[in-house]
Amino acid sequence: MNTMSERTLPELPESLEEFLDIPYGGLFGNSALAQIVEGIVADPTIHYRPKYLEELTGRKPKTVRDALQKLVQLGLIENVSKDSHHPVYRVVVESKKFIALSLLAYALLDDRDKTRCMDTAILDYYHKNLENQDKPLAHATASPEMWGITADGKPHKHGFVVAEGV
Amino acid sequence: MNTSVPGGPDPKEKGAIFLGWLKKRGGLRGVVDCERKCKENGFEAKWFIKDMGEERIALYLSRGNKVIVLKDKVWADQWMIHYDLEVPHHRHWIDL
Repeated sequence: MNTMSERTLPELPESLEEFLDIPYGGLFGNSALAQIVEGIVADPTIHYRPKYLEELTGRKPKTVRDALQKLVQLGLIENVSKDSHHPVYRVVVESKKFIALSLLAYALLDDRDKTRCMDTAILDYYHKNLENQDKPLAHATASPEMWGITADGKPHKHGFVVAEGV
Repeated sequence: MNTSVPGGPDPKEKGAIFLGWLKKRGGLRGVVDCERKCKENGFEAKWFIKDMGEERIALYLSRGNKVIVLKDKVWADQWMIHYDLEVPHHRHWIDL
């Protein structure tokens, strides 16, 4: 039996070519900053050294250094090294920007492939992070009118009176 | 980790990290980058593809270069959720 590398592989569909090796499908161009952002958001489980990102992007040390400085300023990464000459960065996974960029990556897939990766991730995020902290708030602030339960019998929806016949 | 077990082959946590990485990079990536990422996670890309099945993740050719494509995103999503990687929090950080 042939192995995968020995037999003829299928050609990548032409429609997918433009998404290959370009960050966020080209939404932000192909700058060093976009390349690094996509790379670190795609795997926030590792600590990144500038040299690694230079190899990953094929960019010059100064370009990578400048991009990393910008991302530190923006709070997407932080330097966790005690040695000021050898920085090591971790992704600030608590950052809303990180979460939003993760969802954006899924959104680009969904629009292209008609999948529901972003919806799945939002639901998972809601159940793991928001449900417990927001449910008491929702219960506390919910009024009977919000749910269409009114004393005067007039139809309400989401706190607003719904015009009948519209 | 979620207690309910998804269907299909289990990529294990390190494999799910790779699937998440691939998914956040458009679901397709040159094989050299993929091999590097798999190596970081302690396994080989070609064996991972073989073990998971080509109906889920497969090799293609693009202008003569090999590309790995994530085909079954629902399966990947389910295992990423199982290992709490869909929108990751603190994990076991790896030093490169």
